[in-house]
Amino acid sequence: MNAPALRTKGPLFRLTAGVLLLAGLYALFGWLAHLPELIGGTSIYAAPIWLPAGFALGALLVYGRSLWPGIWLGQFIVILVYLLPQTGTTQAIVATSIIATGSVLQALFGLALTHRFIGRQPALDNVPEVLRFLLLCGPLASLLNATIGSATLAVVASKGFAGLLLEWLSWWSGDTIGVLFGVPIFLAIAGAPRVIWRPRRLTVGLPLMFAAVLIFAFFYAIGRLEHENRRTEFERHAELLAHTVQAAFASANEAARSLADYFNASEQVEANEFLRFAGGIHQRHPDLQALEWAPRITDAERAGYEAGRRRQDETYPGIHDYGPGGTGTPARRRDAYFPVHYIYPRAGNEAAIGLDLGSEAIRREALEAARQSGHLAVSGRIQLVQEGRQRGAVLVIAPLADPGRGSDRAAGYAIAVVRIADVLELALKPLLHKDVAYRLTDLDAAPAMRLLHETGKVTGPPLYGHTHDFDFGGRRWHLDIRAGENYRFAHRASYAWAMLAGGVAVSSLLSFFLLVFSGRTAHTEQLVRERTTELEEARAAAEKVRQLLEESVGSIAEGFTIYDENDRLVLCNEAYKSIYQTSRDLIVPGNTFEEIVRRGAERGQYAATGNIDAWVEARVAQHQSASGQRIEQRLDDGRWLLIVEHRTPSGYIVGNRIDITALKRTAAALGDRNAQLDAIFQLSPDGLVSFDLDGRVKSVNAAFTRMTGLAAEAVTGLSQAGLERQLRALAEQPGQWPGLESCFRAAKVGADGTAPEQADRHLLPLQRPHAAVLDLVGINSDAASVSRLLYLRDVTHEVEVDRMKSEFLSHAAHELRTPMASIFGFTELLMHQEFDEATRKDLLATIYKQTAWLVDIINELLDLARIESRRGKDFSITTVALPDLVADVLRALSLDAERWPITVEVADDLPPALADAAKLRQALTNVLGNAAKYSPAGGTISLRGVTRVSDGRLQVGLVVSDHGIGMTPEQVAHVGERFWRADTSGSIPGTGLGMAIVKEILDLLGGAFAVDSSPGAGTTVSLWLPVAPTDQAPEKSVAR
Amino acid sequence: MSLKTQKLLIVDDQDDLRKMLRLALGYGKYQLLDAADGPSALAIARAEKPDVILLDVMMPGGMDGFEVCRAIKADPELSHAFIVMLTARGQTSDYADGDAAGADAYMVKPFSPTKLIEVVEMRTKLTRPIGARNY
Repeated sequence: MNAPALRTKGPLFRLTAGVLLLAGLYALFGWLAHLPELIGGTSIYAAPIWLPAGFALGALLVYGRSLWPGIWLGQFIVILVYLLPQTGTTQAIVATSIIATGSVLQALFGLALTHRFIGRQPALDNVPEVLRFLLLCGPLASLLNATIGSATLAVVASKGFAGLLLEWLSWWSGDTIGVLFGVPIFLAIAGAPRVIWRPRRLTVGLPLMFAAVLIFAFFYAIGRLEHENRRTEFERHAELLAHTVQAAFASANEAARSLADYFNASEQVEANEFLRFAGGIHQRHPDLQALEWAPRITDAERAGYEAGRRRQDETYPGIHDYGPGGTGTPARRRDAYFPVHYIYPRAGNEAAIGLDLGSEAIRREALEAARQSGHLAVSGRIQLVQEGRQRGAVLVIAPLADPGRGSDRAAGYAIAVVRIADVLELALKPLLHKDVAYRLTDLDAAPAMRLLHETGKVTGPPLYGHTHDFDFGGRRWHLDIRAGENYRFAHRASYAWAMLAGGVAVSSLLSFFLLVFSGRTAHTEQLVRERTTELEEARAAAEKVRQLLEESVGSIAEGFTIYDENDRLVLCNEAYKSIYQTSRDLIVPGNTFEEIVRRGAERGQYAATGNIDAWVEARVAQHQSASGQRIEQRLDDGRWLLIVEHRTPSGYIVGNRIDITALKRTAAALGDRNAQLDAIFQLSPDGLVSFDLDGRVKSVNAAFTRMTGLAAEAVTGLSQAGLERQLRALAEQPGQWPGLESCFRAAKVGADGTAPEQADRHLLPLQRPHAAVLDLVGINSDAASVSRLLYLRDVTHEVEVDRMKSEFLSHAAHELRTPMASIFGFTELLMHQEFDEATRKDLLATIYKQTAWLVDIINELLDLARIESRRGKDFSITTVALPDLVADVLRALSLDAERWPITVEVADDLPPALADAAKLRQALTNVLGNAAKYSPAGGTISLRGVTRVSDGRLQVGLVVSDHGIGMTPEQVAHVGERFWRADTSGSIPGTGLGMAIVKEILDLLGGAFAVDSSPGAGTTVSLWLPVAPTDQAPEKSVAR
Repeated sequence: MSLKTQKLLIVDDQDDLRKMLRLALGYGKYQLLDAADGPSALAIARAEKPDVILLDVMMPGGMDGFEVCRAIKADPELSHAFIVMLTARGQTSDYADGDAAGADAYMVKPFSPTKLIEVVEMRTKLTRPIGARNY
């Protein structure tokens, strides 16, 4: 039924529609079950499968018990159609109602059992459930209507006990099989849960439907065959029976003929003779009612005859007519009478004596037929006078010839009285069966008188019939034998039982196995479906992942490949194909790596392959032993690839290819730059030490070695502490050097790579290999292989200059402050105190002297500053004739000639110097002044003009020697320093700037100055000057 | 402080400065002594045990003012002397050197004689060098 469509309507409509549909279904299949019978087929098994019972239960299970009226209606229709022809309308309706109610009860009972023992929605997919279903809903529930139905039918159709049992069994088995088949079929079509039942339409519904048809056909065929067997059996029986009956009647003929022959052969038959003879015959034919002899008595002979008879027998009633009630009235007068004369056996037949056989039509007709034919004749059915009305009999009449009167009139008749029931029953005794009916008719008799005998009754319409016509004493007799349906049940009923039981068993097994296996299959299928769904989902997910992978791989700029364990390409991206443009067509999934590489090599894709076979072999080996090593591959077009391949745990080879051409170029450029940097590093005048990541000395440059005397081999690999120890050993004051770490604390490379300004300098004064001061700068580096850099700068000179500057300042301050102290002090005293004139003058003189001294110092300082700042730019270099210059100086100096006599040995041909005359004069003045000052005790001062060759150049020199206090070599080394004075006692006045100015001037003039001195012996100062070119005329006068 | 005449030793290699100091401090309160170099200053000090010593720093003769100062302060008989260092250098390091040598006051040349008199007169109150603030 179309449930979804029904749901759209109201509940009452749905219920009504459901009921009607169920009723229709029930009736249809009920009608189908009876179809063979209805179309005339006959089988001993009526409706062996009653599928409606199963559909009924199935419908209730699926749609609820409210559908029960449908069952009732359906069953009612089916049974009514079946019963109506067989019985009365009222009876049929009553019986049908009972049976229909039984069907409803049975279905409800099955429903209750199912709900109680199996469940609301029976899945019937496991053995216990199926077993309960097979046992409870089939055999058990079917007991109900089998009993009710068969009992009702038995009452209505009045069947025998055997028939009832078989009917019950048939009903029960039909319902059982119907349920066992019908419920699964119905559930397969409409049952819940659909997951279980839907697939069973094919595995259960269809096979069971097919099996139902098959079993139905089987039962029908078997029943039909059995039916035919029964029919044949019946025919055989019936035929035998007919012949027996014919034979029995034939023996009555014989008896009559024997008696007739006896009378014909005898002149006179006495009473005792008759009794003896007839007794013999009767003994042979005990089924005969009686043997009679009836003579022909004319009306004339009547009185004599009656008298004669009375003489022999006082009870002789006289000739009398046949009449109602048996004993008739005395015969009316007619031409001739045929009274029964003798009769044997007399007992029981007395009433027949004296009866005129001609007084009754049937008897008379038979007598006449015998007389005319001269042969035996049989009467129609007559009512014997000696009996009640019910029992019919016939007379077999044999005529006795009257010798004197020809054949038209018989002298008498020999008669055998045959009571039909006796003969038949005797003959049929061994052949009697249940539900068999016999009917013997006389076809020659008037219609009303035809029935001779009838026995037995058939239940229902006769199934089998047999007729036998035979001639009996000139009359056509007809025997009709019929058998009802119980005939077959009475016969071989166990066979039917076995068949039905077998049917139930087979159906049970079939239903059981189909349900159990389909249940398992359904479970398995459900499992498979779930798994399939999972698999589908997993596959979809995997597909998504694969797609994602492909997209991802496609979006990678690097060439990406996956080769499988057989080294066949599985996956690669566009970038990979683009890299190997030459063999692009070969890069197809499925191709092996070797194929792709070899063909590529043959096409000249790779650079420097050499022997292709060997190259390919090596490349493939490399590829297959991939474990992440970096392979650089050069292509013919100059590109470089970096290949990194991995073998995954699953045996696949994943490869990455990066175009590193640019990197290679950069690396080459970097190499060049490194070489340059190396050169710079090595050539740098400053010492450099680099530390590796472990903090060990990585390299040092030549300058470092030069500064420290530590060879590269000696320090490479040392830790920072080790290097520090080495440096400390060289230090001037090892204990005061804080070490290297403080250098690093100070500085870190800035973001722009420059070292920030250091607040403090980290100076390391070295004693060895030579006195020097190093400025150490430590830099923490973020470079890949260098953790720290140590930068050493030789600041010996710088430090010295600084020290000198500082000292100069200190000296200058001192030299300036000292006269100022006097000036300041005296001035203040003069301002605040009153002094006498002499003192005042003295004080002013002192102030004046100190001021003059101060002016001297300032002038010299300014001179020096000017000389230094101008660096000779204001010099007027000319050819200077030294004799003139010397003379000028001596004249200007005007030393005390007595105290310091001067000897001058300057030849006029002395080569002229190339110099600034004014500056040279100042220098010479200072030297000569010193010579005088440092000869406090006086002494000769000599001045000589000399030449020498220095560095291949001719120099002219002025050598001034004194005999003064002289200097130690240490003091000599200081000569030329500013404010340094050989005399610290203060007894020799001086600014300490004179020789400094000399040194500066000579330096700037490109000359040199040398001091040679020994304490107490005097000092010799030499001023060396470049010689003026000879082609230049010497100037006599020098501009001042 | 007794009213007896105190001894004041002037040590400087400059004749003119010694003359100036004598003139400035010769107002009758002090018995003035002088020396032109370190060794003679020390000898006079040991002999005269002066109360105040004006000590030049840079002097010829192999012994500078600081050395003389250290020697005097190291001598228990002389250590009470109030020593004013007179220096023409005026550098920070000199104050430290003076402190280290045990000097009581410090005057940078050129200085005001009046200021010097104040320092010498108020010597007991002075604990720190006056330094260049005397301008």
